[in-house]
Amino acid sequence: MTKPEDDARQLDTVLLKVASRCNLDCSYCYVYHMGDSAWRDQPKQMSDAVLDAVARRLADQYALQAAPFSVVLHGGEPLLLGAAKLERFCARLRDALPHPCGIHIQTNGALLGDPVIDVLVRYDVGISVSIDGPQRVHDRFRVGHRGKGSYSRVRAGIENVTARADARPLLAGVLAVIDPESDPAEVYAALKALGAPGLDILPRDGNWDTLPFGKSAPGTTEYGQWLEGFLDSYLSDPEPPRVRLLDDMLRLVLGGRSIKEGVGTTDYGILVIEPDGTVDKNDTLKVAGAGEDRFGERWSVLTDSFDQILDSPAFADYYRQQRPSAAACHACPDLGICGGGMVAHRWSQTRGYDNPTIFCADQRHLIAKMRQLAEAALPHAA
Amino acid sequence: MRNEPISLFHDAAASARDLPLTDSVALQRLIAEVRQCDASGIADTTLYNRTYHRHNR
Repeated sequence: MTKPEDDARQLDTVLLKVASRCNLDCSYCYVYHMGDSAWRDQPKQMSDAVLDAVARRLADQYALQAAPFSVVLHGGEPLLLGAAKLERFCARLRDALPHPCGIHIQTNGALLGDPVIDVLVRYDVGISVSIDGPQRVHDRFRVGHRGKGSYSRVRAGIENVTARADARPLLAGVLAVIDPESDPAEVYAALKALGAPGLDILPRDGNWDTLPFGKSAPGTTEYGQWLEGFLDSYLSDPEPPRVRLLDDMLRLVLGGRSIKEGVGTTDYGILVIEPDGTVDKNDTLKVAGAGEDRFGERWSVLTDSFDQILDSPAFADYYRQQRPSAAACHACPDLGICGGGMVAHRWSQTRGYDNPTIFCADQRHLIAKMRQLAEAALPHAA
Repeated sequence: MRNEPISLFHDAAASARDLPLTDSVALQRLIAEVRQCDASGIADTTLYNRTYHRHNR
């Protein structure tokens, strides 16, 4: 994690794609339904041999950079590994990356039963579960391959975690993709009721050529208004959990620092390792178009070190890309809060990434509200 | 393909319902954190990694 003026590039987060397939078929998924079919060319699961190379390369990088980083088991659905293979993977990773390095899993939650929870407890693997709110909202898009809603299974999985005293502390949070047609107060209440200490919310993916679901034009504020409603629920709550996106933005508004990609102007070293060992850019760039998440050179953990990759011109270009290039962003008084948003959301065919985020109007709507609240609240602060 | 100029919103007019939010637990919690902890590293990577990974989709 470095400031823009800092040339030192370090690994910050590694997304480990241990499974290329998913047991759900969410209609909005950026992996399977945004025009990139690279997952078809990948093995269904990462092999033990590739995982062994991953662990060795990561251990080498940790020794070099000294600063700890985070590895996230990702997919597809990482729990498709099954408990036995998950145990082998977690054991090898934890051996290579002792604390304070973080190991996490981002899961749809449907397979969170006791055998895999036992493994996650044993290796101190933080759990984040994707769930979109109450059943009606969740089941609209998060469905299985036969179109049936997944809410009941996901909720049961979360309850399997929260029911266990040894596993409950591992549940870092739940993550919801925003349906701008839903009631944000209802979604807030449903997410909070799950009992996780943190909530996070994400807009639906899109760009200047393919507008995000529910956004009628670039200048409209459907997402900004939804987020304002969610903010109202959060700030009205006498016993609030954490809401990561809003906390991050509010911290910046209050003069503090942010800690999440896509917010503020801090840069992060995020890499993806595919099931076959190929090293790619942040996978959200798939939203901009097929292959946008690939480096020009095909690196692999089987043949290349992270030090070599981090030191390459291609990585430097990718790293710099986090900072927005659009003139409108550089002239914007809210740049320090929004940071230009997610890189993928800046894309257009004609201008590449040289645009503000497609959520610019939404962000500015929300930031205006936050600035107003912060200004009024500071005199009340103890 | 869209090339429309970006409209920027400046509708920050206060509404009456905003006022109680200034005393909110969440907001006062953040104000305290920024004042007390930011200088000593609340954004520390290790602390953050322990609780919630940075990229989750």
